[in-house]
Formats: sequence, structure tokens, C-alpha cells
Amino acid sequence: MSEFITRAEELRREALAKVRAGEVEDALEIYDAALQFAGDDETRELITINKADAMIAIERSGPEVQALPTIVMRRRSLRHVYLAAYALVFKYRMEKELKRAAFYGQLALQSAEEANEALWKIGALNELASIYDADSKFEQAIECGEKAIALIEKIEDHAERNFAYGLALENLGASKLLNDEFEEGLAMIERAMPFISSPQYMAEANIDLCFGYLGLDKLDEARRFGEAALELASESRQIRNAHYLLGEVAYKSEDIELAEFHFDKLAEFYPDFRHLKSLLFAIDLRSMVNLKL
Amino acid sequence: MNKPAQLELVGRKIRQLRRQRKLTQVELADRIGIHQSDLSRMEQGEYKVGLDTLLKILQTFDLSIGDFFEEGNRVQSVFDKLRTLSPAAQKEVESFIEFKRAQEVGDGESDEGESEGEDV
Repeated sequence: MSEFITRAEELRREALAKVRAGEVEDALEIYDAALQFAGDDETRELITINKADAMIAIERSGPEVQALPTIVMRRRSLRHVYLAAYALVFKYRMEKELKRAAFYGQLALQSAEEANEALWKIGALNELASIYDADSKFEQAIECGEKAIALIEKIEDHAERNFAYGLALENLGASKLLNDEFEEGLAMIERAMPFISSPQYMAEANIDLCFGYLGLDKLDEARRFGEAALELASESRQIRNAHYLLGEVAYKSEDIELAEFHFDKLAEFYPDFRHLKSLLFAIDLRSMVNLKL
Repeated sequence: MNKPAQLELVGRKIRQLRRQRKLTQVELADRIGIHQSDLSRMEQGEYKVGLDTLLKILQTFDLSIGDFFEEGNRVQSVFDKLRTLSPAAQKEVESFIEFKRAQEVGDGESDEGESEGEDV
């Protein structure tokens, strides 16, 4: 029996490695093989959670994904509760079912606290912060972000700490900006930048800085960060946000030609929206916009 | 070169336009891919959306800016004109506004008095 369990565990680890390498389809097949070798309910449950997690990553549903809520409620082990709840948080956040996502986020956090696992707590708190941000509950997002930062500062492994710290601090700074706490938010994002290496996250941080400095009417700084964001931006959302903010900066600087250029670029994303440019020239939408969405 | 930026103003305007188009919150929310409860919070100025979603909402109404922010533009235009006056003239306008407000309050009170009288 134990030989079967070992083989199941071997396959499970192999599948996890495949997921990390982005080979999710291969991973799903390996998980199926692992399930065949699983000799007890606990192992079967863990493989089911891992497989569901991989399926969610490629936006697929199936019996394993459907089994996750039952696994959370069954509470076979705190680890399983955490992993299943965390997978559901991700699923519902992607589906913009924010209330359900927050529910499972709280369950994930609760199991992390019961198990006294710092890394689990950080994961759950970061997810909850993102959910609350997306739901315009900025004060709750800030509270979660601050708790996550406090825990990250205690991580002993420097490489791991720096990576987690940079992203969590950037997110917290962005939540502060969305809550109109511009000075504090900007200071946090600037402190986070040396810890961020990915161009995608750097683009995000630059967009946030542009937004923040624009909020303080510091137009030169806003333009500098907006242009840096545009150079780094790879996602369509980031490009649109950067053009929008740069258009606003140019407008406030009374550089109408440049404002027109950026608003035109934004309007290219909405070819059927005839009045977009004139609308952007007439009203400032910043107070309605959450650039993280 | 300021533009009206009030969250509530935009939210209120979206609600007004939605009603003019005889769309329910559910219908508009479905069209733009957000939850009805979020649209409701947005109309009350309590919920911020992504730029893409906001532009899609505005696109749904397909209005010119004049139609969309008629009220905001009018108020803005009064402010703009006021700013071009001398400080003394601005003070005069302010006094006139106070006078009109007092007059309206007075009218309101006398209306109330009259109706009370009628009741008696």
C-alpha cells in the first residue's frame, strides 16, 4: 500500500512541476495517473485539490473543481482546507464573484491562523487585499495589506522576502492611492520599486505613480512615470491606463496637442465610441476609475 | 482648466441616463459584464470600476458630451465666468447669490405660513 502512496506522491510532485513550467495539460494527465495510485482518502483529496487548482488556472471546470467547497467544509486537515479555499478564492476572483472570493479568502486566512503558518497567512491576506480593492473596499484592503507586510518583514529567507515584499508593498501603496491617501501611497510604491524586477509589475507601479502624482498635481513627475509605464506596458489594460493618464497629465499641463494624441490612442481601443475623445476632454473620470481592474 | 470629476455626479448621471433609456440595472449590468449590485453602488458613487468598464458604460449611451454632462458643464461654465471677474465684482455676485437664497428661503417660509393658514 505504501508503495502506491509513494508513487502517487511522486506523480503529484511531477505534476506540480509541470504546472510551474506552464505545461498544465500535461500536468492534468499526470494528476489523473496519480489519482489511480492514491491509496487513501487524504492523498486522493490532496491530488484532487492540486488538479482543481491547475484546472482553474486554465479556466476549466470539472468534478475536481466542483469538489473544492466540500473539501473546505469537510476539514480533513488545515492544509487541505487552506489549499482548497485558496484555489476557490482565485477561481471566484477571476470570475469577479467577489463576495464568494472574500468568503473563501476569510476561510483560507482562518485555517492559516489555526495552523499558525506565516506564508499561508501572507497568501490569504494578499488575496483578500486584492478582492477588497476590486470591490472598492479600500480600507479593508489596506488593513489586509498592512498585516501581510508585517508578516513578510519577518521572513528570514531574503530572496523570498524581497520578492513578496515588493509586490505586497506596491499593492498596499495602490490601495492607499485609491483611498485618496496620495502621499503615503506614493511613498510606499517608491519604496517597493527596488524590489520589483518583472517588467509587468514595474509597468503597474509606474502607472500607479503617475496616477498618484497626478492626484497631487505634480505633473512633471506624473508625466515621467506615465511615460515609463507606457514603455514597459505589455497588457492592453496597462496601455489603455497609461494613455488615459498621460492624456490627463497633458490636459492639465495645457498641452492640448499631446492630450489629443494620448486620447486618440485610447480611442483606438473603442472604435465604435464616437464621442470618446470629446468626453475625455470634458470630464475627468479618475475619481470613478480603479486602475487595477 | 479643471473638469468636473465628482464621483457622485457621474454616478447620478449614469442612473439618470439608464432610466431615460428604460434600462433596468440588471439589463445595463448584463450588457457591460458587471454585477447589478456593483452598478447600483456605482450609481451611488460608492464603487469604482476599471477604465474599460467605465468607457463601455458611457459608450452604451452613445451621447455627445453636451448631452452627457449638461448639468456639470453649466455649473462649470458659471464658475469659469465668475473667475474672469474682478474680486470686487465677484463679491457683488456672491452678495447677490446670498440675497437670492434669502429671498427663496423667505418665499418658502411664507408659502408654509399660507398653507398653515388655509388649513386653519
